[in-house]
Amino acid sequence: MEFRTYVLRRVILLFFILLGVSILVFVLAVMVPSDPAYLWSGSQVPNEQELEQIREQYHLRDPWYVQYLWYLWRILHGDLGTSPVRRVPVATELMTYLPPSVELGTFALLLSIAIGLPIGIISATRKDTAWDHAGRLLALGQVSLPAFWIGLIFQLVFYYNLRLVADPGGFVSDAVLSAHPLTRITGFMTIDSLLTGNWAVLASALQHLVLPGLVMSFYSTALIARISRASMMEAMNQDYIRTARAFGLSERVVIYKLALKNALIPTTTAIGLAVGWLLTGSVVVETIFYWPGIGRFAVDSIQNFDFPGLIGFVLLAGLIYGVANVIVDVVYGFLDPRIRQG
Amino acid sequence: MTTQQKRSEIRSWNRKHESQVREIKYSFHLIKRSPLSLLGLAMIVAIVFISVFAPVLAPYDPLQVDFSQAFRPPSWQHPFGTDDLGLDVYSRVLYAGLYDLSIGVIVFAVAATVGSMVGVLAGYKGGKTDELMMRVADIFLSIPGLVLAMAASAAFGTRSLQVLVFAIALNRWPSYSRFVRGQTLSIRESQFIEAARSVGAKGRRIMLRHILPNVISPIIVNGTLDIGNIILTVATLSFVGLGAPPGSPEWGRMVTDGRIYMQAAPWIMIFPGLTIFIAVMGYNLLGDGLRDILDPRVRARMGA
Repeated sequence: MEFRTYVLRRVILLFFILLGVSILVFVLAVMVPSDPAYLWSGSQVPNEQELEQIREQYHLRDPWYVQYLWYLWRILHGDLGTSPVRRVPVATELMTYLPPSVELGTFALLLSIAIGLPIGIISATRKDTAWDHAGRLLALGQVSLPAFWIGLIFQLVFYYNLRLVADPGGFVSDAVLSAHPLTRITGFMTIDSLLTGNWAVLASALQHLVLPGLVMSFYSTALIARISRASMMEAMNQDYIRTARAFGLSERVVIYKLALKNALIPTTTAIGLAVGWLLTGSVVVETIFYWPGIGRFAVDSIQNFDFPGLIGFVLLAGLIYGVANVIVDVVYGFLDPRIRQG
Repeated sequence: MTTQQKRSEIRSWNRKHESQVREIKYSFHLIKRSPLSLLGLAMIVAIVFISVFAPVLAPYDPLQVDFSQAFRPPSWQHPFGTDDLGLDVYSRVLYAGLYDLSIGVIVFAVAATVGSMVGVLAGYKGGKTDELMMRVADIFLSIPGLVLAMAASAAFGTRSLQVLVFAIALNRWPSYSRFVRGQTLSIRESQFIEAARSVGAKGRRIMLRHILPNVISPIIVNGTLDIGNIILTVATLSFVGLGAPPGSPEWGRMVTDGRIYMQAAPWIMIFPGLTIFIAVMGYNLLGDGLRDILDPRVRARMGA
């Protein structure tokens, strides 16, 4: 198959998946037993006039398929409804909360690659040794820890007791930011401060980033360690590795130059899965660390009975997860031509 | 029945089930060689035991408020200390186990039943039915599990056990469907199915009587291990304000409720969280070991 056709097929598939996600969310939002008008109106006790207005606005009197088409029409135009609590369009709010989440998520992802990949390689090359068992135990521990609990324990130890990191409150300290005003270029705290050479803000941002990033990286670290271990073991069993060894190449060259290259390819798929876990993690970690991101926005929405806000987050999460997986598939297909044939 | 008869009956049973018995013995042999799985099994057994016998083992009533006993640090009277209402954290952790483990089992049962039905239908019918059902399953998997559960339980607006089970099962059934579908595809072509069909058995009978019984044991093995993840999801849902209502003895809820006293009385949140960790870790340790045991490639290496 032509590479372009392969990419096109992935994108079309994504389109259908997203359409399905919109139907699923629609069903949850409209078909539930409670009165959807009430749900969309938020926490305040709405009067009948307000409910009527919402029924009109969301076409809740029409048959369900008409309702769905209206709903699809609105989300395609970027209209995710208006938060009844904050009286701000949900799409606008999500866009404000997205950059800090992306920053935290990227940091966590890089951290999990930096930690998970070496663990996987060491486990595979020292199979069935104490190293392997320790790596495995660590990975299992990381997926078994409730993120909200370990996040609080970390705060207790590293902030309240040791005072090693910044207080769990946002992504930069306000005092530092007002003393060293930051020129916004990209919208990401770390990148902007790095670009403008604002070291005080950078230091503060990193201090705020390290704990939530670490907690958030746990699940994806374990995932990457696990998949890279399996694919490394698979690669080490191949004939060409045996041939290379027979030719007398050093173990170093065999592992890092020959086996690793092929083992890395399946590991890319782990990154797609990791994005899903980072989205889940963002909900918990951002809430614990008061991080102004989309995950905390979702939890706030739940607690304020702001249903449009929550639904907006769900749609955005579906979109991010879907796009991430398409990118991973395309990269995978690019690196391993056999995949394209399938 | 004479001893003689009994013995011959046992012998014939053994002959009939020889391969299964050998399989089970062999699995035990492999598990014994994997200390981590044994550790996991021990952790699960311990948690299940204390949860089931919570009413007997718990020294205090988990709901009996006593302000004179509030914020007591861990001691012999209160092994895990007491919370802001003077409730014994240890007793609450035990009682919460019953709640969390039951949800784990119920969600598994619901997801596995629905998932297997869809999977066997998709695999057996093939064609358009298969395509449609698997795409629907894909859609449910294309939203991260916790996010989907949050949306579903928020949509219902009420916090009840049924909503919680439904919300978590929404994301769990597709993996069972995929698994059962794969199994069905291979079983469908075997001779005993052909034989059943030749004597006139209809599709429904073949699916329920001949295919499903053959996939039940791997589902149960996989599902048991899924319970750990379900427990983690329940706890997390409680944390974000869905799931168990405030003040209820549920592990995740207890951590959340104890969060405000984190500095002054950290034991209120430490012990429930630790229990979640032990329970989930137990399932994951055992699951990791079992996956190796069930994997033919690993078997070959271990000298099967």
